[in-house]
Amino acid sequence: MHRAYRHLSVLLAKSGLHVLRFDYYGCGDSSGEFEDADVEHWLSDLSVAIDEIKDAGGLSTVSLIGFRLGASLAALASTTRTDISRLVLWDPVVNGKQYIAELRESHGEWRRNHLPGAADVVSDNGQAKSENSGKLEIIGFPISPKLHDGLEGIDLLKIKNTLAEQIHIFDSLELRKNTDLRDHFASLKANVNYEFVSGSQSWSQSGGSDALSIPDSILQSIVTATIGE
Amino acid sequence: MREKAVLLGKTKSLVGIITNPEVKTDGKKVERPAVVLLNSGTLHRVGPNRVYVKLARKLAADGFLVLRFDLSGIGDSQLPGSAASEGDARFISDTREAMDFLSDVHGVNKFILMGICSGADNAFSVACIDERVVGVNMIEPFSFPTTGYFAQSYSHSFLKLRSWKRLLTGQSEVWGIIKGLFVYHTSKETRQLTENWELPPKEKLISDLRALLQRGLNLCFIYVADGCGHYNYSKLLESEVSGLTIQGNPRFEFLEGSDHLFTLLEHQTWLTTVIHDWITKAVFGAPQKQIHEEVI
Repeated sequence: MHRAYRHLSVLLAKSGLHVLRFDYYGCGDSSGEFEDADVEHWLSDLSVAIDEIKDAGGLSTVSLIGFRLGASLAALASTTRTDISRLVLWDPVVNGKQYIAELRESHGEWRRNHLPGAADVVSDNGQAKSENSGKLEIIGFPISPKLHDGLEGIDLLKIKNTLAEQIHIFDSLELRKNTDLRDHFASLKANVNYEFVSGSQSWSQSGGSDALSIPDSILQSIVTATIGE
Repeated sequence: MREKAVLLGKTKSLVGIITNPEVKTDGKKVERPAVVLLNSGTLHRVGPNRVYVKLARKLAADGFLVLRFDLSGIGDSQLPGSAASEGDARFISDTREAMDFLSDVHGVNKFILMGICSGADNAFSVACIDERVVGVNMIEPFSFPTTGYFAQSYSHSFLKLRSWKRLLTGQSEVWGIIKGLFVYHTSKETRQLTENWELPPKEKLISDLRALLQRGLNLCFIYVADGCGHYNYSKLLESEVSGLTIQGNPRFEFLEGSDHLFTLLEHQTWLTTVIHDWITKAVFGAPQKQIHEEVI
């Protein structure tokens, strides 16, 4: 994903846009520990990032592009800020409770595949907790109660307003088509575009000088949506 | 903790993060080598589950200057359009350029290299040709598939209650396993797998290892046993070099129950604790001793 975002940034910059990529608190290169992170903090980080690129580029408005939870945070930010002109939501997490449930299932599946001896303990009680600490852990990441509650509180179908002028939704999984989110944003009088790009076909070997697989087709669609063509 | 993004390499095409050491006030005047963390496969510089970030900060808190950076074509680093060298050779030159950067900017001339999987292999290769390297910590590095490996790997399955249940209920995979042993040993796919990984010949590895020890390098091999991988036979390597070991160097650590990338939090904690213990003893000259029993 990191490489895909880098590639996307290059494509957008070549199109003449200022681009900022950043890591939320406790993620990637940013300061802090993941166990201290929460949704409120991440929304604050996003706000700081918006101010930063506006300042650096002398801009009055920005477009937000987010993948999965990043898309959800972008949508939430658009309910309060007036300087977000465009949202590009890539496989957004629409319902936080469902997201946590999926993560827990993924954790259980991971353990069943990698640590079959320990997997039964997890699947019996339905919990994905670190054996030693008793804290909630999902595939190597500690989930604090505050982060857990914040994630579970996300429901994009309950957003009552968005100040973004243009919203693009890109889905890549057949089982996770967010047409209901498209309809919801449309009911809020937002200008919404929806596109399904098959996930199984979208991640491909990139041409040129980049050796790693990146989802060329969906990135091209995102660039087109972002530059407004 | 002070961290800084840097561009390095001859063409400034490599992206890295410097984690600066916190000032130590324990009175020890030992000049610490810088630590360089090398990409694990195609994962960018934060490492699997961000464990490189945790490790860098833990070591910096103990006075080490740490660089984690992206090799060409990984993470944020560019892949030169007219790359003069490919694959391993390029990664080796990238790593040496990163060491040059630390020498030029931070005045450090001794280095400890660390990496998981391909990062470990890269660290070992660089150590063999660059005398500035004084220590190497190899996490899940190369190893050699042997009959002993297969016996060890599949003994896990034979000992599991689930396997016996399958046998009794007619769902046994025993014949599949036996068949698989023969097929795996002889299949084209296996040969391609090992060829793609470019495992060094065993004799070459032992020879290189011997040379590094004669140069006085501190070495640490860390392996896991996930029961399904290519990596669960560190004892084989350990037995090969047992005659060369002095005061626990090379040190061998072995974690039961972890996967290749130390995904679970408890395994990440074990890994960072073992590395911290190893590097502290390596720098301050204390005898190396396995600690995994205490940690677990």
